[in-house]
Amino acid sequence: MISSHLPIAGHRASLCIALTLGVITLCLYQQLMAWVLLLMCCAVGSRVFLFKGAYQRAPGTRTINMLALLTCVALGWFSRDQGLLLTMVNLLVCACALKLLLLQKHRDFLQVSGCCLFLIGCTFIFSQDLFATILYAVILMAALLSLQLLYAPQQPFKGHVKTLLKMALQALPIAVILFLVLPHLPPFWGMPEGKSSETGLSEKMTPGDIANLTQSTERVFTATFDNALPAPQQRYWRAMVLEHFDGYSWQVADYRKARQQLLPLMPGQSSSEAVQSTIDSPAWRYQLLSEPSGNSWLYALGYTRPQNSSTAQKTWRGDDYTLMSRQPILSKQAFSLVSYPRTPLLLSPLAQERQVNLQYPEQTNPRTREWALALRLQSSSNADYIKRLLAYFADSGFRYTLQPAVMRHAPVDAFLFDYQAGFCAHYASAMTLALRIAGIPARVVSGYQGGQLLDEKVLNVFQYDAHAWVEASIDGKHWQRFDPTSVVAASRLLYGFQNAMADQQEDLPLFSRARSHNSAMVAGVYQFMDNINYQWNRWVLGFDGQTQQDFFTRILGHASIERMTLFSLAVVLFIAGLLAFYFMPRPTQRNVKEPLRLYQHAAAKLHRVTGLPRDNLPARVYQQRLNPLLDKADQQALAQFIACFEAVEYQPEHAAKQNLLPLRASYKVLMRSLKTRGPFKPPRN
Amino acid sequence: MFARFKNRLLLQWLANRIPGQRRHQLSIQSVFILPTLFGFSFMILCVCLFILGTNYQNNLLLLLTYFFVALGLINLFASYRNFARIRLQAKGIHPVFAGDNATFQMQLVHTTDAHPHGELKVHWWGHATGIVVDLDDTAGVISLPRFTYRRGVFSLPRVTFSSMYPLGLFKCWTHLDFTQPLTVYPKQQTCQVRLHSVNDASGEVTSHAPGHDDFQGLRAYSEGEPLNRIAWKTVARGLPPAVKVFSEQSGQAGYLLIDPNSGELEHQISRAAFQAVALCRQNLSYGLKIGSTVISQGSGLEHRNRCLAAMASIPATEAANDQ
Repeated sequence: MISSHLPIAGHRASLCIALTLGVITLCLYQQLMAWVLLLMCCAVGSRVFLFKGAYQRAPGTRTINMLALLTCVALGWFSRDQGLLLTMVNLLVCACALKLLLLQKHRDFLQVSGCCLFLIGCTFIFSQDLFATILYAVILMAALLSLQLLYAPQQPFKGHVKTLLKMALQALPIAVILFLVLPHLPPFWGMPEGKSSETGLSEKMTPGDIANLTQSTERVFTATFDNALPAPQQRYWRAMVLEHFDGYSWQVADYRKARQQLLPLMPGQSSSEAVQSTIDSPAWRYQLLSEPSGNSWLYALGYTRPQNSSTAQKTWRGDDYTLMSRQPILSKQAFSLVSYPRTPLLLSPLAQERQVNLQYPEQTNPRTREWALALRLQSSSNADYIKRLLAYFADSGFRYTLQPAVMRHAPVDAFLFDYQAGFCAHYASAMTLALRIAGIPARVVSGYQGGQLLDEKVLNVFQYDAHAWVEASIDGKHWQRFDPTSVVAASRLLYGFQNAMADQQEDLPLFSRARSHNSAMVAGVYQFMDNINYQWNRWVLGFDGQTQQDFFTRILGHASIERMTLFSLAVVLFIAGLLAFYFMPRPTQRNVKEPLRLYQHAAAKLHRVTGLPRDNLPARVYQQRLNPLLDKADQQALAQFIACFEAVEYQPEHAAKQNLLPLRASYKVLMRSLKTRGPFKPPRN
Repeated sequence: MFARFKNRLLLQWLANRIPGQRRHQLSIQSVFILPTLFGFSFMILCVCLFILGTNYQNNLLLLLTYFFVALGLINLFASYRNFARIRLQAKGIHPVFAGDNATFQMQLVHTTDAHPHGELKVHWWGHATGIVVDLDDTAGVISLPRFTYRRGVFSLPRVTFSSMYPLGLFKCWTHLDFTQPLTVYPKQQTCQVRLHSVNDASGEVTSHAPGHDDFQGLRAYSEGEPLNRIAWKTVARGLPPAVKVFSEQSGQAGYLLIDPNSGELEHQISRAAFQAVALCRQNLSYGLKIGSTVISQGSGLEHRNRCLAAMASIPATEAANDQ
């Protein structure tokens, strides 16, 4: 009788789904809480023991319900510092683990596999690089395999894998077509974010607190240029403008934040301003492919505008000329941008901006204040002051280091006069403060500087390229960029961070990317992987509505309604054709050997010509019967053919092979001689 | 009432669509296919993944969604093709006594290249439960039990086959009619064996028990004779074993009688069935007279089965129908 109860010991499907879930959980270890991981491990372990028959009794429903209650309480407790998305993922994994312990009925199994498929989908939110994708594809196959094991428990494993792979390979082309053709919609609504990572830039910069700058080798974005690249010393990718200074740290000013909340609500902002001299000035057109950061700031080279409408919809520009994405970047996204390096960044006409950029706490760094005021008095103009300031950095024995001393108290004073060693944030902070003291509006800009060439037109920017520099307004109208760090460590600017830091690499892991510049082979491997990843990012992950539009335009010319209709019809027909190709029954292969086939063809032809069927007669007898009905030439050809046929069929194999050629020749002769005769017509009485 | 009407309509439609046959090769005519509950959930899962993928602007999630959609589509055809590979042939069903389980045997015919896989659920039309056969495992014979309640000759109802291979997204099923008759012998009711002698000319009936009363004498025992005929008294006296011989009134005596118009027809039939079985066991010859139809005297299993089949096919009276 049919029982909906699943067997326990030796049930391959349960074991397979358990192991699949285990592997998914391990892949998600960064997102899961330790106790959730542990719970899943226990569940998988107990499944393995149950499979082996080491013990027979699966835990009862009541136990599991108690556990579920506990889990819910724990999840609720931790949800506050986890965020919605992570809590949901944790919840899903917990539910799977508990259901796995309680795998009793068909229905339970289907629920678990449904959750498992959904979890596989969720993993793509967190990582999308090529290798992870391959891993997840394998996991997906395992999940489907366990479903198939449920429905065909006795089929040999090899057969299962073969059937499944066949189905997957058949489904893949259809999936790709759907992916290419179906519209890529904009997000329906905002989704909960994962906890944003702490690496990279942040909205607050406190140079004095950092004793050891971590060198993360994560990629931040890739820029693919349409034409020439900017020179190395022009690659300043602005991300954030830090205007508020409390004596210790720099952060985004409050009024700026308020403007940032206001500006996105005003569409078509600033389209009139600053389009001034952009038409004829040189421009860098590039596609920015941003890695998921969980933040919304983007990276722009100076004055930047979106290149097309889809990017324009996704982004907005602040009046500090930073570029923001409307949605936090949670997955890889492409932005088409154009930057105009000659276009000056204007100081806002609002008095507030000027005011904020002159503000500094007078008590915190007294020595700097005294020194800066004195220096300003010595200088003839603001420009001269800046020149003297940079000269001070260059001549007074400043050192660039990633392991500066901690400067908690009066950090700028300590940096300028005590230690004279630090990294970009120290220099930018000190110079901006000095400028503000002298009454020149100045601010710190943080972002990335440089980037690694992947090929001629592609630039990879990594976390260790993070940089901070100064923007000051000498004339009170335009912002001008100054990089005090470059004065101290010019090589950092020209050759990138990697080379500049060559002497500080001893403590890096042996095979890290930052070290790869020492060994040609490691560098080659990294280069190769970067290339693959780049193509993957560009063509798969970066495929968006715009790319799709271009793709359609390339195929269809301009997209009119009739053409689109015809195109969609063609796509549907193509998919139907694919399905027909897969599943139409094919004629079974003839395994009749060639001599026999020729003989049968000849007999059929003779029947048609003479009206005399062969009817299982031996060849010789049939020939005798036919002879009166044929003319001389036909008779000869037929006799020759039959002789050859007998030679092939009734002789030992090696002889038969030799006679195959004459048989073919005589077959042709016979057919040619019969060709002249029309089909047999029964005589009319 | 409505359910019964619907059932009848459905059966009529099925009779036109899948006519009864001893052999069945499943085809587009005879296979039904619909998504299962899991299949519908799978669609919902696809929708959820699509929303997730669009909201996170995650191309891989979208690709995964489309892969699932395509996989569902492929599955539709794959599960049909797998199911349509099944070929079945009825092997027949042995008659049983009412109240026993009859076993209907079907032979799976496999061609070498296209072998169907997966679990196959088999149950009778309208029944909720049945048996599960693994197509990868069985030697090719499916035995489906059927419990019998009443005597009679029935045509077997349709057999429902269903499979959810490969991923459980779609369920293929069919209802096949193998046009096999099932004979259910009457239930046996224990009673005294009494044979009646029938005078063909007058139809006069005298009743007597067969060959038990008229003791004729003893003769020497030869090997193989039934133990209950041995005269144990003589053996006890130390004489060589002898066998009792009874006179049998062959020729005119030895019929089981059933009156089809009797008020207690079913009891009569049940008793006659018991007697027929008992007589067959004793290897005695007997005949059967049902109203005016007569099955002449005979013995052996075949004769017994003929008599039992005749009893099974007696039309039931009104009273029995009501039961």
